[in-house]
Amino acid sequence: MNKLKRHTLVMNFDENLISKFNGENILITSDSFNLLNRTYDVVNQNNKLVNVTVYTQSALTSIKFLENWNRIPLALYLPSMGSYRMFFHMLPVLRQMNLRIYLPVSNNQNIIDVQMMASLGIFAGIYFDKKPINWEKVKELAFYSQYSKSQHAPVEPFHHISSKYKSDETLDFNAVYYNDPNQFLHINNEGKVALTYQLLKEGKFALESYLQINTLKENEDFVNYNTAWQRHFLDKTTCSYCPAWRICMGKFESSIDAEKSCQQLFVEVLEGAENHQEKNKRKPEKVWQL
Amino acid sequence: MANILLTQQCIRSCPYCFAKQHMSENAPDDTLTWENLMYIVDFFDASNEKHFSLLGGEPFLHPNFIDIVLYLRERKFRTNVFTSGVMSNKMFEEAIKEFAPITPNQLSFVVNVNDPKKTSFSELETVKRFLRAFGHFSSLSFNVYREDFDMDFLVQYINEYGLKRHIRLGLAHPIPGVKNSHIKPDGMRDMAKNLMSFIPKLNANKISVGFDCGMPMCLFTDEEMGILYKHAGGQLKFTCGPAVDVGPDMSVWTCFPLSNYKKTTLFDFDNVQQIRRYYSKMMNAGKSEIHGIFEACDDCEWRTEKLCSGGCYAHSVSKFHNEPENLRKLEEVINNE
Repeated sequence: MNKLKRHTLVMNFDENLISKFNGENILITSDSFNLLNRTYDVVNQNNKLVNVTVYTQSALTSIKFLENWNRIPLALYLPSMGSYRMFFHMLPVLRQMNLRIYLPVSNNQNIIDVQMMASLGIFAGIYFDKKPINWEKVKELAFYSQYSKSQHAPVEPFHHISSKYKSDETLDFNAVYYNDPNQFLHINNEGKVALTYQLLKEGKFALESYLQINTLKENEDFVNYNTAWQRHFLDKTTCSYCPAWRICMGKFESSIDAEKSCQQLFVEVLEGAENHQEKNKRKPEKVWQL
Repeated sequence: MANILLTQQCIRSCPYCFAKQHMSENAPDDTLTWENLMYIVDFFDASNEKHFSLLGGEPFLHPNFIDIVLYLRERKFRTNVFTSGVMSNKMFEEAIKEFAPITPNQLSFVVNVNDPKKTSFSELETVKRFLRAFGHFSSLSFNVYREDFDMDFLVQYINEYGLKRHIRLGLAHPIPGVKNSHIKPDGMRDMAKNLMSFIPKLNANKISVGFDCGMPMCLFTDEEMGILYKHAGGQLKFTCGPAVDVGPDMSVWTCFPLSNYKKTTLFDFDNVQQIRRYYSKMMNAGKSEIHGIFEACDDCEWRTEKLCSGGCYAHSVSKFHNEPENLRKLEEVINNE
């Protein structure tokens, strides 16, 4: 298949659909844990499984992790973590897993729990669930992610921003949630292609078939998606004046408050990312090397 | 080792309590939150100190006490808990269950006991229950606030419950400006004589005594020093240096008796070494004004050799509480440092 660049194809587990692909990076979304091992085997037959992302309404501590899941790259979108006691008991198993856990940001406890998980070596993150956000709490988590001197697992999306940020480019951290059509394309069971998970749910497809992915560059929806940011500058929205535009790109335009709390957060995050970049700049070798 | 206060609540009301003032000035329902705990753990981790003591009030009164210990274990911290051993049945049963897989290298208890003759029956039974269950994790702590104290019951507890064969002996210290029971400087020699009378029995039972801070060296004769040296395997301490106490609200001070002086917050420091330096400077500044609890401290060679700090610094500050002008000057020196 001739594409712009190698996309990760996001789809439900459908053996018939998967059999149509060869040599692709495939990410499977699911609402249950029933077929995890089967998914792993089927996808990896002719393609590469990026991960299985499970969206479930169960708390982390109510999930029974099986030892043979440890070979499966997993992402879990959960409403909450559950009791700390149970979590501590589960840690030996969780640490064997190839796992990232995402909790919705609208619940303050989740922000603490994400930090708790990260501090114990479990890769974790928040996702923005379109409910009111306690920006101060999110800022504390971002600060922890970017500045804590103590070792901890990455906290998303802040780790993504810090590690991928380039001072001369914009960065869309929606990629963390597979919502960047320059990297991820969402395919329904009929093989139709949507640019984001939301558009897939709404039945709005950019391409009628995955076979047309090589035409994506000229696709009107795709072009519109990639140039949608320009509106902010044409309309002179609040976001267009935001110093942290490069890493947020107006994602919270509809919920900006009087204090511009989202701006306060992302300015801090941007500074953290710049610090991170500066720190990791490799200095030219001054002394001879063998 | 630094001390982290989980809660300001305490079950007992010991007459010598040197946390009295601090506790009275803080809301009893003020308990350490998970956010603050994680910050503290990261702070000590980044300072390369992977151990601290949990204090109260009574740490077992913190609603998340057991989870906190489990968390610290997962963070590979060695945790020492100062407790009275008094707790609810529910908490006790949970502790038995949850601490079963933990080794004494990861968790230890210092159980602060009072003379059983001055303790209520129910409290005594609860303490014994704790010692019976957690003896292998526990050593005893005993605070001396009268010259005529008894230590026989400590030996009995250690033998009966298989405790660690060490006793932390604390001298109850005064709190500047607040009343609590403690031994006045002129009663200290009698206290020391009484202590020495127990050493043969402790030796016979292979139990060592370690002094907490603020024990003046001159309380003991040279002969007694020789006996103590052998008893403690050379590990004798007569100094009073800055401890680091962190409250549930992240306030930091150097020790309970001095909790009113230069109280600050953990957020003002990058690491625990900085805090120690900060309070060392404060105490050194004060010590340049007051050398020790006795007149003789002024010219004492052991003090200048830094083998003895001249007793608890709080004693010295307390002395000035009857001399407002001198106290003001001292506080000026301390606070300006």
